[in-house]
Amino acid sequence: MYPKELKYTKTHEWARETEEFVMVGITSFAAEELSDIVYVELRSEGGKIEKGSSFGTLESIKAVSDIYSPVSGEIREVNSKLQNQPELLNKDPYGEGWIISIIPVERQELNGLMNAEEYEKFVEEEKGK
Amino acid sequence: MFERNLKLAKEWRLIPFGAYSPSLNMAIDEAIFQLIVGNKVPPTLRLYTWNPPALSIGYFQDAESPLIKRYVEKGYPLVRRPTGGLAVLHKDEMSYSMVGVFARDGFPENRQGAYKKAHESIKEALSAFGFEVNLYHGREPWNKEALCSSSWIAYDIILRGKGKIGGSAQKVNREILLQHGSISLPEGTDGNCLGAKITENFEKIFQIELKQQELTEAELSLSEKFAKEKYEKWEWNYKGGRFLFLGRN
Repeated sequence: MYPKELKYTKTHEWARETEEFVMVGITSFAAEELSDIVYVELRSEGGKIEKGSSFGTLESIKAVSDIYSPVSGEIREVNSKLQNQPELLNKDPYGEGWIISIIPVERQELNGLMNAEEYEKFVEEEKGK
Repeated sequence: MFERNLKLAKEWRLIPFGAYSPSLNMAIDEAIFQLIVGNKVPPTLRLYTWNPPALSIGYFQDAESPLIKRYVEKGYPLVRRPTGGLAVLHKDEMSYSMVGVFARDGFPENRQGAYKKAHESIKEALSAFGFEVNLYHGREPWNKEALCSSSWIAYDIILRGKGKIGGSAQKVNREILLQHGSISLPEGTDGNCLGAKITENFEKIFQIELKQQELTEAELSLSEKFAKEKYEKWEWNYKGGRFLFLGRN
């Protein structure tokens, strides 16, 4: 149900690791839970980010939510399409709805994240609460 | 229909009703939100109103839109909320805020639950005064240029013959929720009596016991800081939110 090549956080972000950087977005569960995302605000390119700190804010009709980085590093690129097309987060959260890419300082920080199976179980537990 | 089971009732904090400036109202709500975990305080309900009346806008809302400008030109102070949603005119109204950690001490498990239950409590309070109110069960298209009163979402409070009179907005940070909202007072409503009914119904519907307490010293201090450094600032009120997108922060 969730892309197997990705890793996942408990705050419902996903991370895709490449040789050079880590790409980050929100999961389809988060996007569905938020419903229609209408605004996106992101930190700037070149800025430093700490694991667990917020790299942006979303609004989905009435509710403002922060989104959190799974790694520490430097913000390499932000997805500028999201400013005018925030609906990409709902329509294609793992593809065109990517949010940010980070040049990590310590890749080992990703080791603590969940795989797709673990994340699916985590989501089922959240739903069951 | 709703009976409070005293054995199961969790205790929440009730901040006494007060009328504060627009900037201080938002500062207090944000201070409670930022400190609730570290402060080790229970979920908190606050009832308040605005002195002077003011226009509050959502986190991402465009303060330069023609509609907002019209209200500013009429002399209403403008404040940008930390929460989402649209513009609300705080005049002849009562506001509330609730802050808590999801699923802890009787606080709802998710933001939809919080929205629905808080509005049910307010609806029951208004019904007790004989007003025909219901919660909206559909959804009109989102219109970011509209006033909040013209934009209805599920569980908004609708007064028969008048339309939407109550709605709320939220901010979520990991597992903490700040929800605050405004209720236009139907003509002839005594705010104090309504406040008492609202707290009574919060206790019934959330199965809680509300204990009146003042803000902590830390909350008072942080509220003053937020008011001075954020909510009184032109940059935040007129340029905050999405105008910080792509590098301007």
